[in-house]
Amino acid sequence: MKRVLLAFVCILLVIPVAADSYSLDAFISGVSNGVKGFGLGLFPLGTTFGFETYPQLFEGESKAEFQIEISFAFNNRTLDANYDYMTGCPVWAMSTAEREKASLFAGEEWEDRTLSYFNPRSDLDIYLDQGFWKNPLNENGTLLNIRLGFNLRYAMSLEEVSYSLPGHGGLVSPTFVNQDGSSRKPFGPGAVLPAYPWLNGSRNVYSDYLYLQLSLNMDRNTPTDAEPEEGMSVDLRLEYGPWWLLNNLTPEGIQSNFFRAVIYAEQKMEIFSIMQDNGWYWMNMYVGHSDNLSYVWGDVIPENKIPGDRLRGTLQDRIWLHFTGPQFMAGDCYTYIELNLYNTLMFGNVANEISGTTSAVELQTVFSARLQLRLFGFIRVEYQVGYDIVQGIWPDRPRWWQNSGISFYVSL
Amino acid sequence: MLILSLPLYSIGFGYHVFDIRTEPEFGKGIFPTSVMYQFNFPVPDLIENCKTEFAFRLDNGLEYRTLRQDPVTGEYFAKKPWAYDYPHEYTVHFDEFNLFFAQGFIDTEFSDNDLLTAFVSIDGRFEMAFERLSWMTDPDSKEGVFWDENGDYRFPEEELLPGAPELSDDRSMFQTYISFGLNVDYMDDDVTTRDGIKGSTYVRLSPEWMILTDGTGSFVLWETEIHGAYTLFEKPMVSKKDFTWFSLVLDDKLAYRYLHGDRIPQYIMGGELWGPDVPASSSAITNRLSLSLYGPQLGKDTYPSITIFWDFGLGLGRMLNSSSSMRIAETVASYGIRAEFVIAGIAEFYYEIGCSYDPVFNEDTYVEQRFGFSIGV
Repeated sequence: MKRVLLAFVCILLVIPVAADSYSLDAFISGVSNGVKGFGLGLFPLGTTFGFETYPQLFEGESKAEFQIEISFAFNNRTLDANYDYMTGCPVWAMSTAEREKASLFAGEEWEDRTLSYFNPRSDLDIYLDQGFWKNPLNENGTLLNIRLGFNLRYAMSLEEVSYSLPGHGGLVSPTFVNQDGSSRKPFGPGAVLPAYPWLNGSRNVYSDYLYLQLSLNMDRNTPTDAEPEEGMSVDLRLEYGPWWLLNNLTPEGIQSNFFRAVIYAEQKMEIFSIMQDNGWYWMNMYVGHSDNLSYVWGDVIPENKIPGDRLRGTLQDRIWLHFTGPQFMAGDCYTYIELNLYNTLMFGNVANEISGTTSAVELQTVFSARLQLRLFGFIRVEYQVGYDIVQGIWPDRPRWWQNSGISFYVSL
Repeated sequence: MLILSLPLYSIGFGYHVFDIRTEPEFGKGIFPTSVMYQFNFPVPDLIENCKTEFAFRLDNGLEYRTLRQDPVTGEYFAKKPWAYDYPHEYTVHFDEFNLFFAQGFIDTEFSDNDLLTAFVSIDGRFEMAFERLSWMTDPDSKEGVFWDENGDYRFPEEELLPGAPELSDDRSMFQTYISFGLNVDYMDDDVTTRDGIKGSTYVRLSPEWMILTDGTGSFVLWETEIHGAYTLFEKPMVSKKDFTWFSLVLDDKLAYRYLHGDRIPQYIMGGELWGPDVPASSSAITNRLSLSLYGPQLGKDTYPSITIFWDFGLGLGRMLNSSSSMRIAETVASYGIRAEFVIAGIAEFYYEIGCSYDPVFNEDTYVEQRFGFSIGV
């Protein structure tokens, strides 16, 4: 623990040297949605906020950005019963006989337990970002940005809060312990669950990683989100969270040991726009295309870096059409409709499997339409509908889905 | 409707983060558990040079609380310690919002605030209480405030708990209220030096007939606070303007809080004190006298400081949330030293040691010390 503090202090002590002024500006970048069971799902369960300052690091170049972003959230999560917690082998790679012998969070001994648990967590993210050269399409922007950052996470996995409420079953079926409070197999002090390293021992997790991001940005300047976007950008992001980087501090053993690389490229083009007299838009439309390739290496992948369906590689292609309706009352009151087509290829070995032998290829196609109403930059009312086609490891049928919600969000 | 009628091109929200709090059981107190922040709607100043504020304030997160009174009878646990031999700490998830309007009068050149500021706000607070975070994590921590070690519920489930109304039923509450008040600010506050006086007085009305409230609260609060400060000594830096080598500041903060009502939630009771809680009574007076040594200032917001404080609390009058009509006059007090090092105004290391005199809840004086790191504003 002391080492976490020390690292954090060292980073903080560097700021005054680099910064023009010692004070940092505060910002709030998001307020998380509520969850049912907590105040009707209406009240926020977490907040993301931070502090930033713009020191001049290099003469003649644009100012750098130093930012500390902090977030916390108190949500429920569900235990994933799809992987053998001792070997990490996925259910889909097992025969029926193997499945019966496997250590899964499923079957008879789990019938009296709910798989839901309380997962309070908090993240600290610190980075320094320096831009070089002018972006030809945006006078205020830079062409190449180099960002060096550090991300630290703390999370607890505890019994679901509703258990402690009267009339909700009380202590009848806790997830991690017996009714007398003693640990229930396979959890407890000294427990090691290679497939779920964040559930080891006392289930308190400290994990962190360093990251380096190179961004090439040739996007047009869009002061508000209601404007049609145009331009292209490429990002390369490398994340490194080895075990020796404060990831083995707790008695729970190594919480993280991974390396992850992501390449992202996107292009956007305006199709049309019709202006109002006051400089707002009646409507506008742009089309976008992006590709995202990521791969994660390492034998202990932390919870926040587990890829979809646990396959180490992901290649995603997205095409979207974005239609913005009239701006009204204020510049950031408008509606938009976005049609998306995602094609995702997941491939490679299964993450957090000890033997490292199981591999698969999976293809997902998702079509979705999103309708959003934004009011004053911080209220968002959203409706989404989509159609999924999944081919690969799960015996899924194509299906329609929809969701709607209201959220409070700050985008500036 | 006020927002809609203003001719706004693009609303640029201003925002502040006011307060970040931590709890020792969550990430050793390094990671935050709650934060208070505010969005300012851009409104023009109605009076020239005087600040007009129209803002939405949110305070949300998780905090620990100690149950001091029997929820059924309202009796102090400390009066019968043998009958209540179980943990008294529990966790509360809370969200509070205030939509407020404030108008300043008379500009002072040395303070960000005007000399007088009047405000009115519409507020709401949601809370849900559950066992402390370490509950049920091992065989030694299976006993909670609400559940005994056999898995039986300690308090009646279906009826109102007069001693802790917000813990009735499913232990969640939603209360709405109206607040209004007046702030006076005649203080020149420059981080390491302070001179002048400021104060506030406000009323919070939370009657049962307020719209949307779930009826778990019914109270009126009136609170008045006066804070005076005087810089006894200051040695400014010659090379850096507005920086000091050393300064010595004397502060005194006096607060009076009057509460009336038959269902008074925990969050509104007491007063700020190092160590003990102020007994829940209709009148509460708290005072903090402190002497702080600042410097040298490494940056505007990076500096060490040492504070010697003496805190005093007095609970007077009728015991709150109690079936007995007993009147009390109880004092609690503490004194101690706090040493801290603030970096860039947001991170601080501190060590504090204090001695508490707490005859209501504890028989002997006791010494506590804390060492920590926190992110705060």
